[in-house]
Amino acid sequence: MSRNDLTDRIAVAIGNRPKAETIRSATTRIDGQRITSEEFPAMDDLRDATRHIRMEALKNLPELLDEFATNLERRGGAVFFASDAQEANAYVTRLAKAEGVGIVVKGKSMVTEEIDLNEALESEGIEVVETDLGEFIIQLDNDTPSHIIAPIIHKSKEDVGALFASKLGFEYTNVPEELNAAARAHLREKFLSADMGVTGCNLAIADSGTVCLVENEGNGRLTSSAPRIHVVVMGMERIVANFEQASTILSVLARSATGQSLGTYVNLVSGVGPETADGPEQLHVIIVDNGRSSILAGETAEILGCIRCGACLNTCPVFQTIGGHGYGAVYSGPIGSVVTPGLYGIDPWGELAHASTLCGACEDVCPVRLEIPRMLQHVRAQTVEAGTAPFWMRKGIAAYAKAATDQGRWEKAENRARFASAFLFSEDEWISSLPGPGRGWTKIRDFPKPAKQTFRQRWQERSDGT
Amino acid sequence: MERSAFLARVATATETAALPDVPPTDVRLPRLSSRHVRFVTEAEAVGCVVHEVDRADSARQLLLDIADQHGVSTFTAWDSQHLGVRGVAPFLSLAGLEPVTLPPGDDPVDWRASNTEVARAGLGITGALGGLAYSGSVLLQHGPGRPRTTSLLPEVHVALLDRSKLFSSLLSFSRRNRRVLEGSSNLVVVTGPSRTGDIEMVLTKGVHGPKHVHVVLLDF
Repeated sequence: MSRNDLTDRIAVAIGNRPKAETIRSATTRIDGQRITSEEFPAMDDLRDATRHIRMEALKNLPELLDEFATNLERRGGAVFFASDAQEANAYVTRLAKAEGVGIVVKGKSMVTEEIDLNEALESEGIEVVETDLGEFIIQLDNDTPSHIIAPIIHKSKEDVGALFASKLGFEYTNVPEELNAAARAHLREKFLSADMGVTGCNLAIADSGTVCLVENEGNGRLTSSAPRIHVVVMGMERIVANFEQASTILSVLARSATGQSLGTYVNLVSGVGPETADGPEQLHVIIVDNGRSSILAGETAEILGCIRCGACLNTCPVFQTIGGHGYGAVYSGPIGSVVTPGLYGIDPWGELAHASTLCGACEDVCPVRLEIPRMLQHVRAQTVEAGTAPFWMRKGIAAYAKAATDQGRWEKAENRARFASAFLFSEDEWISSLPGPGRGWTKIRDFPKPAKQTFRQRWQERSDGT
Repeated sequence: MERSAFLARVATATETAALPDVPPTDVRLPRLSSRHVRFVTEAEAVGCVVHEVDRADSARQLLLDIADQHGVSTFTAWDSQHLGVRGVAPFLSLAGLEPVTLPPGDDPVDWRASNTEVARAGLGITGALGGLAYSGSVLLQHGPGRPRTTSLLPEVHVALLDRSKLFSSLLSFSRRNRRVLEGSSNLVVVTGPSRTGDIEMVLTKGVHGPKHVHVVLLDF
């Protein structure tokens, strides 16, 4: 991927006015639904407790994963540890073929997007059907999700109506309720004929060997209940010690994500066994590393405490403007700008950390109180160390550092800038093209005209009493 | 990858992980003056219809009324001993509703056929392990005679909940029932009807699960 990709994606994102407007109004709306500590005072304590639980889980990750796997196996489940995407996909594909699976239904899962599981299964001739309404629409349109909890935040109801008419042959409608009913009918058939259901995992509980799935539609429950084989793909960090810890996190998850007290369905799956009269015959849990251990080993380890509520996306001025697609990766927004370079490398993904105003809104809303701005700054520093920060930024900041540490140089620079600005600026007091290292800055921004008098000059005048 | 190799790699990573020491917080949600009042308020806010009955025969009659109200003529129900009300299935059958059932007991089950069968039911009747006042939720514990699909495939779900089993929150429930997850391979917390906001954040009810959820509080 070339360095210009990010700016190209941003140009595309803000160039499409209707789409940008849809994203802004939707993010503003979800952000407004979030339950704050003013509305629910216990939120503050719950967030502190959640932070404690998540950090302790990461510190004790090997022990907790071991305990979880032992308990799940005791309860009739199979556990597979996947070092990377390829191992995870190979396991699921091999299982599906061995079991003669024709149709796989899927619940919404970010980690399966991350490892491209659908492509792996489809390349073996297995039909994969996304069943979350948003993900179903994404799949139908060969699109990618643009938000971790609201995947079609960038589509209008008219877009969906047109898509259902052309791909499913339904009569055109832009009424969400009718579109929903059409999808329900179409997908119900798939549920009843699928042999395998694949879901993600919001939380795994070590001491009982439980997988916890949170959802609103019921597709996750169907995916984990109707087919005879249930496959869970989970990121290895998604674990807590016990049910009480899980309940604490669940108390902040939906409140931060959608403003619900709890997700409509909190589904706690603890193995398969003689105590079940229905539900699947087989349960397989695939625990995926795929770069997480390298994040864990470093300065941004804390990011693995994320519970994927999406609050930082909704509140972020950059995400509100460019949407998830602008980031060009599965995990978008502030959280994605730390996770993505950690998973896929600083070059080129470290650049995402520069697409931030560092305003701190993400940390303010995070239910885990993750220090996202600190981690974004760390990723920025890594890009400089790795020599992948943009040329203009390295040169520009070096020049700034040189000038700013010497009073004489600083005053000279100010004078030069004011002199030059007479030639550079148009009447509206903004410049859209600076020379030298400044060119990189103005390529995607305008630069304000320097004030007529510097602060120092004004201060001097004030002190002189003039 | 071998489990031991995988875990060894993770253990090595944790040695250099930059993770803050965060003190534990003992969370106490504000005490509710009435779990009952709060439960009703919250359950209605998420779109449930809450009923209260003080006799088993009124509970059975209520189920029939609910079926009539939604115009459904087929039902499926958990086994009688898990409902808290006796004789539900015979009563509804006698009143003209068609029962739809899973093959009983330990018979090898044809999954596809039984799912298709349950999906024919318009009304699904379950008991409940408990209710949560802060969120208006009901807890369903599944097992023999208590299929998962009863509360999932029919368009109308009715949960019969003993009034004395109201907890304040999921957190307090989990503290009082630390080993509850050992008791069943599936426990689900249901908060309102199935819903989505995927299309332009417009709330739509009845996606893959029930469109209507009734909670009947049993006070006897």
